[in-house]
Amino acid sequence: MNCHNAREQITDMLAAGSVELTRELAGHVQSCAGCGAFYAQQAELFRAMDSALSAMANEPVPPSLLPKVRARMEERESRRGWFPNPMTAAATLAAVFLAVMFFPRVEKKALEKPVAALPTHILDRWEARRTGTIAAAAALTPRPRVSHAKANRAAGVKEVSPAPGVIVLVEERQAFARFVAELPDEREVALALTRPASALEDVPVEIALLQIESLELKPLEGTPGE
Amino acid sequence: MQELVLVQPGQSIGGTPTRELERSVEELPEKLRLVLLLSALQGYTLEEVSSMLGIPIGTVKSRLFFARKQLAEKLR
Repeated sequence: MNCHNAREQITDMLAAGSVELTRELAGHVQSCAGCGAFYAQQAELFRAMDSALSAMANEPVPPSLLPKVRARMEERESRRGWFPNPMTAAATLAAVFLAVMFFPRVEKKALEKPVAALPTHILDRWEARRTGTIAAAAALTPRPRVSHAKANRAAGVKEVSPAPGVIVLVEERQAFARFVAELPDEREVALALTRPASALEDVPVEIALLQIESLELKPLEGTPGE
Repeated sequence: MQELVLVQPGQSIGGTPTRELERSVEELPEKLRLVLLLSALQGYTLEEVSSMLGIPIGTVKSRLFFARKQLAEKLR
């Protein structure tokens, strides 16, 4: 064993925390004065290092430092309250990014296919008309013409549809508008139905309630009468 | 069990000033410094450090070895 290898082994042994030299290494240290001195020096260095590390761990904390440390820890804890870990923060940011990216596309797609939200009783009547059960439709109680948006604004109420809204498919919109146009005093509604829905959410859509008591439906030719 | 020695900041222990030791510890790579602080300073066992950091115990041993070796080279 040469001195270079012996000193490397001494350092590695002390760094690993071992206290006993191998037989070969012990023989070299005893026979070589230079390596013996190196071993004593390194052993003292590691002993001092370990003692100093232990002393650092047990060093008393100055009282003036405690409030600062406590405030810093509370600050970090409050920040962690929002995002407990980096994965949660990343997932939240990804969700926000996706929402920002895709929400305008959904809105645009909806505007490309103009639809109108109507109170359900109008569709009930339309469904009755479509299925030929005009008696049931006519029996529905007539209601005064009203704009829910205007009524809500006048009452200072946040604009929330009082009845569940329904969607008129774009391909059925023209037919539905023609049907409404035949009704007395409902041409404005028919005109509104032929127009695209407003792009602005806060612009009220004028929708009138339908009254179809005067509507007469005649059975189609060749079909059995009711 | 290592002997605990109370020292004052800047006091020399075995010819190694504590401030120099602190500075040398700070200069260690993050992975090595973390294992050294947990093991040598805080007194956690190798198994506890392995569990806390989620790394094999052999990795803890090797990191502690390289941390002590690099620290000794800085202080030499």
